[in-house]
Amino acid sequence: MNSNKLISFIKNNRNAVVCYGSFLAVVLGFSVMTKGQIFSAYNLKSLIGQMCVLMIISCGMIFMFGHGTVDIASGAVAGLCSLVITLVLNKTENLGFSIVISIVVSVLLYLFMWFVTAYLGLMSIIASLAVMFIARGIVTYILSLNDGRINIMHYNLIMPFKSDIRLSIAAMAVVIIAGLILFNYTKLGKYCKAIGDNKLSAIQSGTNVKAVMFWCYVIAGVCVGIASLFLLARGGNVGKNIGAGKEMDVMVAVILGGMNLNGGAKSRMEAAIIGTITYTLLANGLTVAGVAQEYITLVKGIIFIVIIGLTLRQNKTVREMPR
Amino acid sequence: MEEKRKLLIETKDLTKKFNDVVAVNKVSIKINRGEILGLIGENGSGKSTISSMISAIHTVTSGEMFLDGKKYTPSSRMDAIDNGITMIVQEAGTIDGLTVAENIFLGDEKRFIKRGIVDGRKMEEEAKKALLSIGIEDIEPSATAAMLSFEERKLVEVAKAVYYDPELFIVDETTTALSQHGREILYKLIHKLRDDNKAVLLISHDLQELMDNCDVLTVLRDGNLVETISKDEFNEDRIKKSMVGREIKGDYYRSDYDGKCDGKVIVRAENLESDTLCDVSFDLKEGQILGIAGLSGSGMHELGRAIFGLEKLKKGRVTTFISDKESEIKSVKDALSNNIGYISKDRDKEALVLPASIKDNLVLANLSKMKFFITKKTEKEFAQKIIDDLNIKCSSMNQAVGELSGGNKQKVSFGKWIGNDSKIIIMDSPTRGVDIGVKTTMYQLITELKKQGYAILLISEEMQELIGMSDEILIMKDGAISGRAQRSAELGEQDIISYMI
Repeated sequence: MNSNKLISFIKNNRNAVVCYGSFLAVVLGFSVMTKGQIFSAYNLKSLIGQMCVLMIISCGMIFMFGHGTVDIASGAVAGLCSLVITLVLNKTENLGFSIVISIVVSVLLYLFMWFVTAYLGLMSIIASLAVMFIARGIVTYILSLNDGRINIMHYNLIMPFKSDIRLSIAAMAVVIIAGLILFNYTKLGKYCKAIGDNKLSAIQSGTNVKAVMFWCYVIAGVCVGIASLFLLARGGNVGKNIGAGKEMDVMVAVILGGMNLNGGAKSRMEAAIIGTITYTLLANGLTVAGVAQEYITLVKGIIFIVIIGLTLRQNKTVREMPR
Repeated sequence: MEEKRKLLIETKDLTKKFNDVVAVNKVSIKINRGEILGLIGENGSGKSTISSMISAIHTVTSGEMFLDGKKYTPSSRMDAIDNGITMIVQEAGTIDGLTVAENIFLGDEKRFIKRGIVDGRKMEEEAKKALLSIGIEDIEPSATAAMLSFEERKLVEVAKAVYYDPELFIVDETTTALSQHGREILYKLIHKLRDDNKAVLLISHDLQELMDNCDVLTVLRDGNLVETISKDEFNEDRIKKSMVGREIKGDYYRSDYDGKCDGKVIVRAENLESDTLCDVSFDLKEGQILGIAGLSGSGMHELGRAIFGLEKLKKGRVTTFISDKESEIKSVKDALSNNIGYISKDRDKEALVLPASIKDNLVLANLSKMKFFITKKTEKEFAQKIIDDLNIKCSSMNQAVGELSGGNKQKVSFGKWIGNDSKIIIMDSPTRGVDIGVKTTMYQLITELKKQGYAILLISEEMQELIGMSDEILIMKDGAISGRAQRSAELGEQDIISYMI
């Protein structure tokens, strides 16, 4: 009887179980495997630095996944924005200005996706695929004019974004708090989830789908724009692979956090927060535990497929429901 | 006569449990050849579950079934079809992207293969025959299912089910989706099957329909078999009583026959024209229930959408007069800001967000009137009030709407609009697929809303409901209003049907 209850509890709270279950598993697993080294002060510091970019993007992406858009352009856009920051910074030496331009570029690219999706009726993932190639293409082209790499002439200006851990923490805190409030306590978040579940019904309840999507894309764009700064600071210069694969890291992270990529009522901001921490711990823990670098992506892939397999399998075994 | 009917299928102590919930409890029924057996009962009484077990959609928890005296344990739906049992379900059973012919022969394409390729023409010819055999001439086998109306798709399913020469033909609440024309095709068909010494199991909420068509009626309540009544003992009051286990009072619908309305005009539709609508004009007053009758395809559903700003109008305008302010409705936004609510016919796909909680659903329609920041407390108080007011039965306000019964789901979709202070509510087939018990509550609720001064546009395919509830009925045909009828005790279905056809 008790085990039955436990099973039905797990089924009903699958998202939370995946979220906290994988978090606990990773924390406990690596504590043992690394004999606690993973939580040494030094490693904690580097953990925070590593998770910053991913955390900021993931929080923004919850608004995209939440209303049912799978965005795969974030990595490429972040790469392009890093390039933009570098170019502006090299020209003007004005940090604030370069950040603003980065956010503007990112938001514009996201709004282009929004326009294509909302007005031309194209599938959102196709629009983001297009933007991914455009952004990646621009970066590759500009780099090809500059011997394949652009260095930051005044690295000291942005170095604090790597070295000063407080800046990372502050940026993450701002994004997390803003995300939590917007997603849980405002009209925007509620409309966003309703669209993810049932667009028709949302429309008939008075949701202005285009407007809600507009703001979701803007939020995603702003987050990617901000994250680019940390990405650049950690990279030190702009090479052709900058930001590559970040969109996939985001997806793995939010799925580890218990997010359903179709969006809807079960979407939670916690998926991004906990998921990012779990994912970063996982990647970092593997390294600290001494897994060879060549295997890490493979191990990540296996863990990803296991989590997806567990969650999807439960979706497929349809409980026999009264008709 | 009774003795001559040969037993086709028999269930013994058939039981079905969904987790811990007993849906069907030790039901033993006999279905004879040459007989139309009706199953009736409230929602959740186990009608669909029993038929689903017979047609192998559901597994059997315990108990046995016998077909022609032999033990019958179907392994799949195809197995059931091979045993001569076909079933038409409540939900859509066709695939949109396929043609009518492909839908009919889905899973059975092998017979049309010539040199490794499916011979489409031959399949379409055969499909045409299948359609003609049930008297449908105007559906093209080459048309894709998506191009057909819901009713036509249902008829395609009927053609498919009958094509396989069933010994037992199960019709599960299909008639609610059909217009009078479609119903007649189906009735003719089941009578023919009976005369051919086959058996029919007819499941419906429509008591009149069952009494008209069935030879025997089995009443179910809460998964138990209450009684089986043969045709000579049919009596409406008795059956209703046996269904709910209590006396249904006389005022099932509204009890008064006062169709006069002195309220102010609150909605005015003038010369509405769209792809389907054709010069439709009417006034809706405060405290009035305006019924809209028509066959499917008459434009009745589109009219409701048009008033809510969902339909593109070519000509004409919809105007509201809320507290003497005149405003034109051009979009859903206009409709909402002018206190119009709309309950779609398709409750599960359009009116509600099934995976979301009751609270979320109730709050959703009211968001436009709330502040940008919404605290949990505001939400909870708002939802709790509606849940209390409408007596929505749920384990908590955080329960997903998809888990509720049909009646409670519909209460949530009513609650959305009552909660956001709508003054005008457009209801498209509000009692579609709910049982008598819930219908009674719905009708009481609608009457109560009328008393409170709500203006209600009641679009329905059920004539009795319109006659019973409306102050005035507009009858639609080919997108235009073809007749009007005032509320009176003498008003009968025939008066309305004559304008519909």
